Amino acid sequence: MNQAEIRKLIPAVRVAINAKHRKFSNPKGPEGRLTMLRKTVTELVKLERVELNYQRGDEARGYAERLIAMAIKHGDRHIPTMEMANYWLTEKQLVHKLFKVLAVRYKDHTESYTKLHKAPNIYPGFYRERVVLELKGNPFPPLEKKNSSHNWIHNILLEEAHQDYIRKKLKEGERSN
Amino acid sequence: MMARLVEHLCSELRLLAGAVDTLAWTLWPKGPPPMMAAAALPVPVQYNVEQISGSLLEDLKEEGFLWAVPKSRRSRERRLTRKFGLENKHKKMLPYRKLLTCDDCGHVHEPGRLCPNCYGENKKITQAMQEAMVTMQGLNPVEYEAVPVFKGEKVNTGDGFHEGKRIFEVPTERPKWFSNRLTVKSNVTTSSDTTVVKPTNLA
Repeated sequence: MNQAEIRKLIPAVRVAINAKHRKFSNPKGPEGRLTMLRKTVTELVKLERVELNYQRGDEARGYAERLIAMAIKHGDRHIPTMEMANYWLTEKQLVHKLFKVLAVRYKDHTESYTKLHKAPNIYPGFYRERVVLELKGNPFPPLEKKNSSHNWIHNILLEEAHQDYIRKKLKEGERSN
Repeated sequence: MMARLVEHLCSELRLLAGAVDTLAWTLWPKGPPPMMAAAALPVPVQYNVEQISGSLLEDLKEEGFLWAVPKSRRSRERRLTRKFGLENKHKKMLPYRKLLTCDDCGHVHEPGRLCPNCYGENKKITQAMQEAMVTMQGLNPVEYEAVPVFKGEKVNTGDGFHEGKRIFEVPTERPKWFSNRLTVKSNVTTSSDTTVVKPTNLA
């Protein structure tokens, strides 16, 4: 068969996505749901970090990932991609940002383009799970710091220095005896 | 002959009245449909008690059944114990121990979640930065990466770090915990050697 594999025609989304979409009951029906999600995706592209309810953040994340992946794969000279960008970004100055800033920023990335952090539960609260959805490589201060690991170069060097110190001390002890 | 005719007429009239009632109910619905209402009316029925009671009880015993119902009253003590448990036995009120201490600020936070104190600080500065960024970008096409410059900072354009980037000025001072660039020694200085470059003159 000389047919292209269909799953390779669409860029793969790099985050886990539910098998079934969330319905988000809306007085305007499915169209209202999409309007709501478009608003969230636009906000994310504009501000690069937004705090949302978990359900909405997780749902919007997949659409944002897909949009960025398409922009990276096809560029701005591909009609379906441009239509997609026009649909999902309600503020049109962000269409430029998608192709000229984000697609360039994530060109060589091997992981997802967005990150979802769990926001703290404030007591007493409504206990709706809140999340912080952000684009990677944003200019804001990082939310999570990398935990120190013994594989880090300065930790390896410190460990070696410590061992050296112990050896030196032992030798001195032997001499004095 | 006459009696039969009158009876027939009566039955016809009753049917007609029923139809009119149904029509009225469909047009202006209020309460149950008239036929149902008629059915719900208490109809005095006379049973021969002696005749039925014996056979009914026997039927229940042999093939009838009763739904599962509480057999005896649940005492107040027992009820409250079931509801809230005993302090020294099951359903104890235990303190929430699944908490971690933040490595940076020392406040407690739930595992897998951001620290409320750190996140609060971060949120404040992030919102200020977002506001500055959005005002800088305005409604023009966003074509460059945005880089923050905090209050009192001076930008060195010599090393080409800001090439192809747009600067937005944040009206607050840079927090100490948010270092500028960890890999490079420093780009931002407070000395008077470097020239201050306004965002309009860049790129």
